[in-house]
Amino acid sequence: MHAPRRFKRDFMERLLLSLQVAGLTSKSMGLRERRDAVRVSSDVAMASARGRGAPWARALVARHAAKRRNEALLRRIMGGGGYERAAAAAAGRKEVRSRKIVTRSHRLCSSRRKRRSLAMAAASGAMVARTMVKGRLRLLRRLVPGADALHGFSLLSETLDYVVCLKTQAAAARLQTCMRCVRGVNEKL
Amino acid sequence: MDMNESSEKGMKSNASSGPGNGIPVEWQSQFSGTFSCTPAAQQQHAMMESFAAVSAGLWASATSQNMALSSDVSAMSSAAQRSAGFLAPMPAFLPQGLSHFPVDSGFIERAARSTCFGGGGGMMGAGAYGAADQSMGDAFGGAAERLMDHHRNECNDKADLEIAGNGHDEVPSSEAAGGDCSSKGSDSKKRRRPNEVMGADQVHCSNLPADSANESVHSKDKGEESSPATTTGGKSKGKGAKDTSESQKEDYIHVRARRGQATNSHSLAERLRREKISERMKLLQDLVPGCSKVTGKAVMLDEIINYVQSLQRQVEFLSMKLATVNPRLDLNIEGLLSKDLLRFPGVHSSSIGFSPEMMHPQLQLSQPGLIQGGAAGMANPDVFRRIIQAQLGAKEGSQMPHALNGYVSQMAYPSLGSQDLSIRPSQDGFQM
Repeated sequence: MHAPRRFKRDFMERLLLSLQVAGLTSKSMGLRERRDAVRVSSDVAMASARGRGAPWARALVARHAAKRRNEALLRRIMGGGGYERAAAAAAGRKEVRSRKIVTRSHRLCSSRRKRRSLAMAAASGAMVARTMVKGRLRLLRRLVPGADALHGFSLLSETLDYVVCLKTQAAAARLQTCMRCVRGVNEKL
Repeated sequence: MDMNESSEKGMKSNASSGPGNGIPVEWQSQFSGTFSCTPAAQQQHAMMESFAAVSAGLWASATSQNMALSSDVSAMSSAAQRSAGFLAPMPAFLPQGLSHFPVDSGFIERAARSTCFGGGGGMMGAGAYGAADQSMGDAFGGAAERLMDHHRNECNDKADLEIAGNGHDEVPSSEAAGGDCSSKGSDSKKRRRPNEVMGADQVHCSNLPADSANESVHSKDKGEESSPATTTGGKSKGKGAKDTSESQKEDYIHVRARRGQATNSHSLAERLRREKISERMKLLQDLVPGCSKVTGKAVMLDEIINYVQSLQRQVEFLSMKLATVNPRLDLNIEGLLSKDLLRFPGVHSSSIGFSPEMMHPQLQLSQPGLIQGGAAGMANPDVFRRIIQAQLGAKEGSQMPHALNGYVSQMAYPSLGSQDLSIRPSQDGFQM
């Protein structure tokens, strides 16, 4: 399943490859474009290393695919088929958006209800805690890609997965930059 | 250091066999088109192997054992497919204390199969007992589980009589059966370890539920779609289940009702759900550094959110840094690095063929600042130091090692985002 070591190795490989691919696309890019290319390639590397099993991976790639600028790069990295899948996923997000509207309206209603109940009874400790938890879950849903429609247990599982992968991504990027820095210093000297 | 090296070697041996499978077909085809085909691919494979191996080794050493274990656990648990059999990876998922407890998948499935919800207590008992016979010896050595209150309350007395009657052999199955009786199963797909197990003899004596001291929630896995059918099925299932149990694999979640708690089906399911969630929170707690003392969902969630945000910020910052380190992203730095890293465990690199590279803005940074940024990022300072020394040994001579030593010793594991990986060209390059 999700063996961390293999994931790390896969991710490193893909990252290197995708970085090279990204570098090939344009020799002279502005800093911002370069940074976006790096970010896209690293995200795609992470998502593809994770595999199709995780909804956040699909959502992450779809998020990048939705922007037109990344199309060429994504095509190069993932191949035509992969890009089509990502584009389809990006298009499918309209349903998620409508669901978000529904849930948001529901939340408003419930908050109105709660305000009414609060007016009637003093806010008990449990209710305050529940509101806090709900608010934070909302934040979490916004942070983790593709976790919009998840509730409770699945949301936590998604977060867990995503956190693990984020950690490896950060560590890999760190390694990359350090090695390159050192290499640069070495050459300079 | 030894552990690091050995782990790296281990990783390398794994990696050498891996990369052919690691890179999916699409990537291979993709890049065979892009680059010159075989030699470059092979070289890159080799370099990626070594790089990944080293990095993996670094990571492995960097993260504490607990964290690696928990991340494994969490990764496995989070990735576990709902419909797949959980039992295979279950032993790895065991908490340490229960490692001695062999998970008998056969027993579990049999017990699960014989489960029925509600009135099937009698048959269930019989079926479970029969099922338990075979697995009894191995799985539950001396351990057995208590009967549930729920079982007694809701199921008929017949079950109790049978349980009492069947005696010693059947004890674990009875408990499992009792657990089955109560578990809804269909909603709970997660694997759980039995938290506490009681002695076998205690079970006979106390068919009555509650020693308050022995409260435990015991749950096994349950995942099959057929299990709900059997749970809700009638007593006939019990006998039939026994026969078929050996063939199929089934996971069941047995939830034991605590003393003095409602044994309603709804409340049980809710309790199960709550326990799943709390287990996830525990895993997350292990994952997020510095959350061991924190209790309560709200604070935990806060920490998690902060951690995720800081990680995302780190990644963004690092990608920016990566973009600035080399103006062209397609530099074949990795190949050169891999050579160093390959030689890193043993010999210092004397001469490294540098491809003629461009100058990059980082060079203006003061060296301590540079090393600070690098060292701050590295999880394992010692390894990094060695790498640096390997590379700079020829040039720097005496100064670098001192700087590195003083620097690395002060480096701490970057905490949640408060310290940054920013290369601050600090005046004294030894503070973060």
